[in-house]
Amino acid sequence: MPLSPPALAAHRHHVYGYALRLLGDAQDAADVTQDVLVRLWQEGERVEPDRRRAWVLRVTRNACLDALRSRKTRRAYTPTDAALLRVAPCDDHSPHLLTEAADFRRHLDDALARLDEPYRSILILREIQGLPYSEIADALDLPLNTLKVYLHRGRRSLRRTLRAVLSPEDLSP
Amino acid sequence: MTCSQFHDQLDQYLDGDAELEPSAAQLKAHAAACERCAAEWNLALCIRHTLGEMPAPACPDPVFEAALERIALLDRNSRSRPPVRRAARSHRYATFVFSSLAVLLLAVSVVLLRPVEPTYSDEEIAEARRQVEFAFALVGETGRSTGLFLHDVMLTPDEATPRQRRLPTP
Repeated sequence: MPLSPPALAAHRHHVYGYALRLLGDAQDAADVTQDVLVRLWQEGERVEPDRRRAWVLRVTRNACLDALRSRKTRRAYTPTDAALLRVAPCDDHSPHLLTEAADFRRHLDDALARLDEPYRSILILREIQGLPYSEIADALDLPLNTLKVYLHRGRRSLRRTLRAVLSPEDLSP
Repeated sequence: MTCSQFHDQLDQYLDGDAELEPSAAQLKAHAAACERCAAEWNLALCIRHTLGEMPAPACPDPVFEAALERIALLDRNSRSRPPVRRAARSHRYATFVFSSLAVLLLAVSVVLLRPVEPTYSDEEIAEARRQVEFAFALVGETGRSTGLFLHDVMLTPDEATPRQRRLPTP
């Protein structure tokens, strides 16, 4: 019995958000999302419900990596979709601070986009989507300890990249 | 705490591991005393905060609806497939029946066409025995009256009679 539309809808935002982060293009993310949802409809019933989200994320990641390989622009990735660069609501509406926050976010987006796999996926799934370690490890097929080591390396790589582009005044507490 | 230890434990602190909670005070104390590590601490917290606040883009409704349309199309195609399946099933059934008939025909042919041992009545066997005995008697009588032996007149020197073959060679 294939999965029902409500069961598919439960995964659509995770799939689209992850694909958009990895691909940086709304149209490509939409294509991957459709493919993944169709595959979820076809094969999802064979996956245990507890592990279905991890399975969906694994399929999404593989589809995105295939799309990037076919585009051959993996290293030349730049976030082009406005949704990625949108500034989150901030309590402080001072124009100067908003501009600083937007700049920081832009640099962070760029640094995140330039991270290699699987560091980028780990940071997206952990820090942005807030998934538990066990689920990320399942999705990326990594042992839990390895996942934590990679997460630390990814964070350090982000800091290193940002230190190189931000001024010392920006970094001072 | 050294700067190296600070960097090692910073990410563990960011993971929120409860076992490392006692070291949070040490981390803060070191950051308060070391400007470089304070900047690292500040940057790490900013990254974490900003990533946590990054919008998780929602899947637009048209994307989901397009996926559902593709699924509906696949579903319709799979439902219209049964006649094809029935045709395939009847084809498999016909193949099975014809194969079985062919095997049966072959078995019957083997049984019917096998070489049959001839059967003779007792009278025929007795008549054959009489004819053989007559032939032996005729040959013996001819040999005695002419002084010739059968192997001398009918066999070449290279051929041996069964009796000769059984004799040990000197």
